[in-house]
Amino acid sequence: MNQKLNKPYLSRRDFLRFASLASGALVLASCNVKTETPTEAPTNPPPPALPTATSKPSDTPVPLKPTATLKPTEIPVPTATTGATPDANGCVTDWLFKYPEFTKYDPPIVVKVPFRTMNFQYEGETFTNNPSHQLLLDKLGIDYQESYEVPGSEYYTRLNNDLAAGTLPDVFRVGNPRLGQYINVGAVEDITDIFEATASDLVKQVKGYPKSSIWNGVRMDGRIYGVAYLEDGFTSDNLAFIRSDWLEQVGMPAPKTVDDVTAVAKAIKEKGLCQFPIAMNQELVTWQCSVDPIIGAFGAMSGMGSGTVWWLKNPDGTLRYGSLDAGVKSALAVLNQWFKDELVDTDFINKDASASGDAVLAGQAGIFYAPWWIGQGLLPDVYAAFPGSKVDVIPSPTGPEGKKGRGGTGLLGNALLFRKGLDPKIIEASIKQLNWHTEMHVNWDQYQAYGEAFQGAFFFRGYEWDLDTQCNMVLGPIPDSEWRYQQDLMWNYRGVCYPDYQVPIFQKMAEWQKADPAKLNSAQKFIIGIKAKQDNMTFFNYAVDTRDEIIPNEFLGSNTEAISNVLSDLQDYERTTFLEIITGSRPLDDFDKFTTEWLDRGGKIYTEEVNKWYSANK
Amino acid sequence: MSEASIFHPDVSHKRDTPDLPNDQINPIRKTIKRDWSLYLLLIPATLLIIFLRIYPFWGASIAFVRYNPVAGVGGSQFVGLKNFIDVFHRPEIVNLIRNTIVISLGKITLEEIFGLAFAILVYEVRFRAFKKVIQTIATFPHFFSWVIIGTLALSLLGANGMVNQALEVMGIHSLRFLGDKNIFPFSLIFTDVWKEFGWSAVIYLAALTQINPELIEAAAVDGAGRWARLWYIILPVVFPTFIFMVTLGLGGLLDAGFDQVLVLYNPAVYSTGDILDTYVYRMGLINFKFEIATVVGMIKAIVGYIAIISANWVSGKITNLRMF
Repeated sequence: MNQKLNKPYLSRRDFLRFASLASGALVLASCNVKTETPTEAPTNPPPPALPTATSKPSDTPVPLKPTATLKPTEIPVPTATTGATPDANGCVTDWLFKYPEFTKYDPPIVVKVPFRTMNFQYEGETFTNNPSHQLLLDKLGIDYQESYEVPGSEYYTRLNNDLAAGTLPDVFRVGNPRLGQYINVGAVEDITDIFEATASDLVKQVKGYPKSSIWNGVRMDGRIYGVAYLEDGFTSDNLAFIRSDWLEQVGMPAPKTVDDVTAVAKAIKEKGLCQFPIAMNQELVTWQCSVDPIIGAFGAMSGMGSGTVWWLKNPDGTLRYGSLDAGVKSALAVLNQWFKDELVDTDFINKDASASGDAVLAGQAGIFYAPWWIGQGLLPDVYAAFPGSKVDVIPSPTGPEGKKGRGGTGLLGNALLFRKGLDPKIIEASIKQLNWHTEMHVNWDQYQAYGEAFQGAFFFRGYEWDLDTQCNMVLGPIPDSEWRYQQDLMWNYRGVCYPDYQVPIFQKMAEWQKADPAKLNSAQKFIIGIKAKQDNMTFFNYAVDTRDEIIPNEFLGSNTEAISNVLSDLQDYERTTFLEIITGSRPLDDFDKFTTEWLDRGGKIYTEEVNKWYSANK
Repeated sequence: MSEASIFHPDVSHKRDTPDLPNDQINPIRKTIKRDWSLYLLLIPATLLIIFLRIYPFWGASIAFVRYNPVAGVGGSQFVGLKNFIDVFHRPEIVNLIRNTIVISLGKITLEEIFGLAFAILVYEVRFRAFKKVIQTIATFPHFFSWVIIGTLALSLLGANGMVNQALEVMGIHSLRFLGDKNIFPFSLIFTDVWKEFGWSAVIYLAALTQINPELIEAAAVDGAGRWARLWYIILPVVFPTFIFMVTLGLGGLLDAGFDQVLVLYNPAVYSTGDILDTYVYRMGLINFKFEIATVVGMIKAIVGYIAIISANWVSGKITNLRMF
């Protein structure tokens, strides 16, 4: 027998040979690896080509698919600053853009921000090569650069990573209840002094600085650690909507009670109009196809573990956690019944809010609870896909005791945070930009004759609007709310500067039209003529008229460290339990077990902390 | 010896001192002097191991502090074993370990059984082109990531998916494959088996090539039918490989397939579908509980280490095949 073959282990010499071979290979391999990513963003991006007459979008706006891109030759020149220059057809606009005064930064100041992936982009366009970016660079001398691109759904995961790795972007947006995570660990800069010195009186006034509760989320020990957003204007109030054309087909009146909703949904299903008439999704209480009006019908309100929380007032003046309310149990019973009867998508737990919106779009659901701005968001696509379809806002359903309610729009929304150790100049520049935007939004009639019409975006030709060959204003090819550079160019996002900016301006223009239509310029006439805008106005007014339905969250403090410690676990527990009850894998009576176990799992601490805040801030 | 295996033919289990080369007895300095060029070449690999494998262990110390990501481990407060106690007091931890083991065991055994059965079927096919085509088709899904397969599975197994439509045609009420917590683990296991069985068949096909065709022909001549040939010739040849593959799989017992679960699960099936890896991901990256994530990760690493060592030992005992 060959001794060598039989030897069970390598000799040291053999091992060394083998190892040296491997290490040599590794060295070679590591030498060959070159970083493929360019270290600098390309400077001086090629200017977009001029639009040709033939490439203009046609008169009738064709709804584009979200992923639509146009060919490079069709990229229009941003004409925001050149409203009066005749185009290829000799068309001029009868209105001009004006911008508030600003001492431009020269050389430009560079700010790095995360860039959330967009659905719509012209081909060849990048974060640093688009009209919004160019405008800010031209007018303010602020040069936004992307620290990275991240899909919206992965945004917070990426930020958590950044926090752990110490690679946070310069400036970034964080929503409640996550604000505390960043502020408590000292990852963001204290901006109190810079803000007080730099922010204009107008900014302080519209944001209610320092007294308004919107600042609670970013305040720690009397200092502020970010600029709070204004989430107002009923933007998250879920109203009841129904496909009225289906209602006619089943010959029933609009549902008034929760039982009516069930009956109508059954009729729609039996008639074969759709398989799952009521739109719902895994997030339960969310910004679209939410179920909060169903909870409200039983006199309670709960976020159902979705991240938003409701603290309700007790008769004795303390606060209690909304999800523990008996009304939530009744709401869960209804949802469970809907699930059993297959009135909601039996796959809803695999679908998020936008997917359930898609179901409405595809005619797979006809009863849903959504905010007023779907007039511009969801409905145009529904109308285009189903000619003759009609969606109406109806009263929120009432429960057995005649109650009704909806979650409403919390005052504690997002805030803009600045990475710890950031150059104070950048913070100052950001706040100056806020001053600039706020001036433009609030005193809009002096600057933007068209009004702040489209999601707070700039009003760029070739994006929101265009001129046809006869010089008439037409809708641009941008699917609504898809053009989102402005989200990451920070201040220009809706609600940041001035709440209620959109509809009141629109209503004002409508009043002007009534008084003297001749006085309106073409942009104003154009905007007033858009059906989606009119729908929005109807729905918005409805939200305002029914504002008494709102069941507000009474806890407006920031999450303390003790709360942050238990909150995520409690949210997970609540969400899992409620979803299991709805899908029937847990009996409804487990809700009672949930209410006691919630307290044991940290809910007691949470309740104590909240009440501590409440008794101090009543 | 006829250990025709790619694995180390460990047959003697002992080292004969006469075998040792002389330099093992001599002082180490002498050997370094003699082989200095080899040692020099070893340095980069050693450094890589130190930086990529040993240095990250520093991160495990997060398990013993109240971690503040901005201050770092050094700046965080030391809390001893408190985080470990916290983890074991978490109500979901028992479920997590059970889910991980159940899902993982199901996958390991079924993947190998289906792989073996498929390999034998392919082996019996005589038409070469058909054999190649069918094997390629079966192996194909292995090369797709779970993100793709998962999306496919979501639509196939959905309420209006192909599977449920087929069930309804047969008069069976549709099942919520990804939404019912009692069915979800099975959905995980079977989608995984569907994706991987072709791949695991590759090893068995290699093992089957060891069979001398003359042996089968001789058996056929002697009147052995297909079953007899399967039972007395084919299975005995591939059985050691099967055991080896299963025990090898047991080494990764706590890896129940992070990417698959992450793509397919939802909060309603956490109680039966959440595994250690997805929990660590949620705790660490979503919920910001770095300490809990680290502790669970550490537990997983320790148990995984024990599992690999014992799997190797068991495999060595039963089949004489070992990894190291």
